[in-house]
Amino acid sequence: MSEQLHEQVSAFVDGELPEDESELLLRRLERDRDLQRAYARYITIGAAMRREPIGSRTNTLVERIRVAVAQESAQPGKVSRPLLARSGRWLRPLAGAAIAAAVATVAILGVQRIQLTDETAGATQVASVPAPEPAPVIGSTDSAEPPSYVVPAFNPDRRAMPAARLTNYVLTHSEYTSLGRRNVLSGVIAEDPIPMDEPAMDEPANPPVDGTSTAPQP
Amino acid sequence: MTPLTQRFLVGVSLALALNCALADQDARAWLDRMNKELATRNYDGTIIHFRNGKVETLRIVHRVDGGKVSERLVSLDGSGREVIRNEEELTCYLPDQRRVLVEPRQDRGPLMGTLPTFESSLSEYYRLEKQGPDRVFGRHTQVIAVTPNDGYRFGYRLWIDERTAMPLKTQLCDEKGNVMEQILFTNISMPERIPKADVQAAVKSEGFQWVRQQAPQDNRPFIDGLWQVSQVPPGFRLTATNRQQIEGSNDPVAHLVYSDGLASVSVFIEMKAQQPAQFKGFARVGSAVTFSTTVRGHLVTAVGEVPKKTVQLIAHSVKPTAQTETAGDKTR
Repeated sequence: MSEQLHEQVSAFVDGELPEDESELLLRRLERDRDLQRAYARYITIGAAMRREPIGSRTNTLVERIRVAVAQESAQPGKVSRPLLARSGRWLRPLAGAAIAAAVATVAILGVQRIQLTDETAGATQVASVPAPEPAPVIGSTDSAEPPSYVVPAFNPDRRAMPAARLTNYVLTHSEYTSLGRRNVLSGVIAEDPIPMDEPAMDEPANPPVDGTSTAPQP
Repeated sequence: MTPLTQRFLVGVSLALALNCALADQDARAWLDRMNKELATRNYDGTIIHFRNGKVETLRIVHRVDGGKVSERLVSLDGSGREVIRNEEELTCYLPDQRRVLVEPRQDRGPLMGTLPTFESSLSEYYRLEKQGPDRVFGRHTQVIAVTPNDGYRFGYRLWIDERTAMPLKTQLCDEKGNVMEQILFTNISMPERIPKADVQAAVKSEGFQWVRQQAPQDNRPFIDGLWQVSQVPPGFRLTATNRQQIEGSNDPVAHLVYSDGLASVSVFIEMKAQQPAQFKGFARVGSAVTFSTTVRGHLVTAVGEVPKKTVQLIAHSVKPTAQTETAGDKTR
């Protein structure tokens, strides 16, 4: 990797690379495996040198990517452009962010690997990045590792919050979904129900009619 | 138009139709292969989920042992939330809420989700097409698109690995083809054997509140004829009725499921008084949209991975039957 590229990666990880150069770097990251490896190494070594907790740096990075993706999403015509129909390639900005986040994940796993015994012998590698290592058992009694999540103080009021009921509903519903189950469940994992601002209409506008349905199909 | 021109046009039409049919067949074959691999193979991977401007990193494990399937989906981003799904139950650990939700398992399909067999009834509402080869992380994939024909359902685009048939990339798209969510495997291994510990919860759940749903029983006498949905989008049919016993409530909640074969919407109906705090209108949980409204003293909530207008239409169309109204409050 050239010195200039090294500086660019360094600046990107530190959030100091200008937007246009960031996009170019992400595009190059998508194609260049050597750069991906160097990038992961940079994050890992950098975190170790700064003695930061595992993942803290990458979390910041993922947050920055999140903002980048949000900005891209806000620009009509970029995210919404039909992908293959137009250019035969998938969406660049989103893909670039995906690669960056992927590399960040590889960095996290890389750090974990240092602390773990390799138990993946015999695994069939199907992707171009390292295989997932067994994650540390968070909260396990026989592990010296502290839990990697924070459990807040218990608030008894939360039992009664409507959001909990909605989560219940969504979880129940997930058993009746097909292709979308993973999306629904990762949504449950990621967040509590978020009210949407749009006011609800009292009656639906221009409803289609498919008849009254009162009995289940056999 | 000369006879020759006519014959030429007929020939071109037939060739195009044949080409479309073959492409469609090919797309179905890829989906069938993907469904089989997702349900029968061991796999352990990391996925990145992009949605609403958020990025979530998760680990997904699918273990098959003696024909029995166990699955685990866990957040790698710090909340510690995870879902374990075995032959009997779906258990959701929410350490940040100190709660564990347990649901009886209803469906045999894998946690990754599969596309139902693409039968002719489904093709009335969705278009299935193979959009050609592409590469994901340097691997050769086939892109399969499922596009809705109207605005009442979402579509999908899948990048299926040519060698393993795993969906390395999945996009959820709105009715106009805009990408709403994207799930990307950053790595995946398919070992011969996965240790049992890898599909067990890592969260310490001592002292947590366990909320356990009862398995649905014979519910038809309870549900049938009490509630009806007068208007549903084209193609949606009632496919299941259940009675859910929600923790903290003495009265059962009626649960109706409407599906077009791919998309599904659940409708929950409960006595309003059961709700300690009321909610109304739209809410979002990941890609699922919920809409709640009040119908004759009952809280009606429709949930689905569908456009907002679909859940709203269905929730607004829920009505008690005349039998219910004359018989009084049978749902208690």
